Amino acid sequence: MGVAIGIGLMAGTVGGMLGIGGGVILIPGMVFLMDVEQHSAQGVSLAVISAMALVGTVTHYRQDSVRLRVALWIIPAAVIFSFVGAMVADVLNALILRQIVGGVIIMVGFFMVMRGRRSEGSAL
Amino acid sequence: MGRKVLIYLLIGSAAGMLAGLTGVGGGVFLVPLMVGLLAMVQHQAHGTSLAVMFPIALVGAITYAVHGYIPGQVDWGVIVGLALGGMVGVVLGARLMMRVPAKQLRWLFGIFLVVVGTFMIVNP
Repeated sequence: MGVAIGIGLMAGTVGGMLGIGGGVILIPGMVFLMDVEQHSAQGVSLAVISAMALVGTVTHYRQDSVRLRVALWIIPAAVIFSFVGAMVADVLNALILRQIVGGVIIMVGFFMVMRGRRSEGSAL
Repeated sequence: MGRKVLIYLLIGSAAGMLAGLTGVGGGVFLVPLMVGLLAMVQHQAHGTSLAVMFPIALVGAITYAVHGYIPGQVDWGVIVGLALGGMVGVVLGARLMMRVPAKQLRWLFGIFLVVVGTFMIVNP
């Protein structure tokens, strides 16, 4: 339980700050530190993320860092295609897929770091 | 208005699809897409991303639960521990975010993506 709280705390802090779920920390944390099987780890990760995202959304909303209308517009397609993606994932070679996506993520990461000063703003 | 709706649909389907495919969670794609295509301020993109992820994660978790992966072989104590840590962490992370200027926040996000992407390629 102590290890679980620690992993959750780390995933939550990074997730809350960067606006991601923290599954990137939760899944390896469970698989490598707690010996959980991959599928269960992904499922539990999603369950934990939904609790986290709800609390995170309320916190962000209170400090005025949520644009609710935009979120509501994006949600329908996102939910539908998350289903579609999960189905397609069964057919594709997950290993190669994750490596390709890893490559895309690295490029996006570099893009975010290199990005010019447009829409800089101070805090909000 | 029409063009904006199209962008919302595009962001939602791209983030949902990749979330379903990889289980990484949509935030990694939501944040850069919202900053890039909607010219959203970095801080608001992070908060809004969490709001979109709540329904995605919830639907995903229910799907995994129906297939028996939650709780699977994982103790409920572990799940509760992860969720508790996550919910406390996400509040800390969201508060912490407000202290980081947009540029540095984007750097943090970018560097985190590069690390995550590398991890996905090396250890898919």
